[in-house]
Amino acid sequence: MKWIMKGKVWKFGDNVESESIITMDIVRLHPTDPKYLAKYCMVTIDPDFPKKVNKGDFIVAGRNFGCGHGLHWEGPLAIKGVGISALIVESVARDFFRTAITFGLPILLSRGIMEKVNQGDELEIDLTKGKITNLSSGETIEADSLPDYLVRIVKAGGLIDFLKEEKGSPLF
Amino acid sequence: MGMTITEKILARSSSKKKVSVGEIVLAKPDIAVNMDTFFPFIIKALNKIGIEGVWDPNRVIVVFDHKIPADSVNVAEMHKTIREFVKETGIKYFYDVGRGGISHQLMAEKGHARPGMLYVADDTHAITLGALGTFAVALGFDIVSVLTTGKTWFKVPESIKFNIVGNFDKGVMSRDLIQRIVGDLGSDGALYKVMEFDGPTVGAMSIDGRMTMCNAVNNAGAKTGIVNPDQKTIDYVKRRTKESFDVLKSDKDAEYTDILDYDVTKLEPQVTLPPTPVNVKSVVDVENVEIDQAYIGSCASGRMEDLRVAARILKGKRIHPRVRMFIVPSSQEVYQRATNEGLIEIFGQSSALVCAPSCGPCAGYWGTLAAYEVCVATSVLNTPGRMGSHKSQIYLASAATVASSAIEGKICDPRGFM
Repeated sequence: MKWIMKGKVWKFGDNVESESIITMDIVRLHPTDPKYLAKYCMVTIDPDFPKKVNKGDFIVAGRNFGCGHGLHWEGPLAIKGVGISALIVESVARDFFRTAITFGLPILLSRGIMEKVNQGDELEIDLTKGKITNLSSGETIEADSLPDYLVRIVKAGGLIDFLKEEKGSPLF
Repeated sequence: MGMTITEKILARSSSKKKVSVGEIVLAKPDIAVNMDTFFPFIIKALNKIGIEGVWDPNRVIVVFDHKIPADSVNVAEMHKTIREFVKETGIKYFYDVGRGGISHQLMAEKGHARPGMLYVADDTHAITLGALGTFAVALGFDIVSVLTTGKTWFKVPESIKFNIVGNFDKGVMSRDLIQRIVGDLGSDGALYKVMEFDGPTVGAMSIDGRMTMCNAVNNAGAKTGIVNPDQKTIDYVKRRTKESFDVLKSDKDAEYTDILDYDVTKLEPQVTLPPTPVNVKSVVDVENVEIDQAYIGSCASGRMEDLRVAARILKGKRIHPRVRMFIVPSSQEVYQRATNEGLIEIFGQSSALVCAPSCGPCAGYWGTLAAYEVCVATSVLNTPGRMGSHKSQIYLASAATVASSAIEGKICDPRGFM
């Protein structure tokens, strides 16, 4: 299965907390609309982020992305809602990783990515091969490919759509 | 090469002889535990997928513990929807208001969590049940995969072994140890790994103490915590259920990424400072921080061991006039036992408010903080806004430290009260 994406980089640092992606006062309302959540995406870190992002852009970040309370769906939904199509990170908190996959937001792990990519760079990423090409610098970067089963969930658009497709299959 | 207890449980539940670290496996949990706040969204998801019923109504458990008692029409309607769903689908184990308590405590008490199980729940602190030798994983919304297909994906984790020796000083508890460990590791020190707790100190710990240890490992980025089952575990579980279980343990030649030694002999009571759960110092460095609120409870430390030490400190005393104190037993059973032992009377006489077993103040549902107020608590997390105003401050500590601080009106070393 081939899965290639192209987009512009929005760079963040280490330890981006889930509670910074979407704050607790919004989480407590349990919103589920990505368009609503998009307005608040990352605003505690960059208040203008939702206005600046274009559809198909990427977030590149350092270690432990999504740490804290990563099981809140509001974070991944906000990131998708704002137009981001994939995350490329040094490492990811496990709760956030599972939630992102469940809500159809692909994440690539790439050690050293922060040194190889700058804010605004254009990247082409191959999720099934784990290959990143920095079109702005010409450099090829290694990443862990997204495992097959997770590719299937994310490509379907998330767990609910995946399970709808799989109804009647041996998975059930 | 041998296997860790984690690898054994994942192998068994994915029908494999062996699993490799980093591998993605499709495994079948033994039970799936759901709490109230997520469940209406889960019901909507099941409808969207077009599934009637759940995978196994004897293995899906529902507990009301977060937003109880219902404090608004919205929440009451939410609870009503869940009750109807439970009835329609024939879910066998449903712990409604007054019949249970915080799910992570309840699953131990009712014998639902047993050694050798692959245990999953929607809530983050499912990890608590690793104390009983289960591989306990928090799935969040991915629990929908289990409720429909009976399985989901797991990435086989590496494990860190902790060899813990020594006896705790009076007034020092397992809570202080896990806070110190989390502080030492930092927020990704155990990223995606299992923290396996071992050594004579763990052997000597009560099940309550082991649950407190496993409860906090996510703050260091861990996937879960686990304690190999021993006779104490077996006795605890057998007292609570006749259901069978497998005592799986790590092999002597199992592989770990690190083996870390801790000696608790000189361990001082620890305090976790705002704004993160890894900002951990000795209480000696934090004394004299004035507090407005004190809270003992939550799935981290609302058990008999915690209430007993708090009662020992509070007996015959009044809390500081500025301080309001909430004591929340983690389950109806804990509440009843505390009553039988005369602890509730001690709490009331100290001017503490004893409240209904629930998650409550920990997640900011009630007992909330105003701007610039300071709370010392046994809750699970101290990030800004967790218990109310973004401008309030939460310090985390053991029940002993919280009780002594409530008396003094400022963060206080409990060893002086023992």
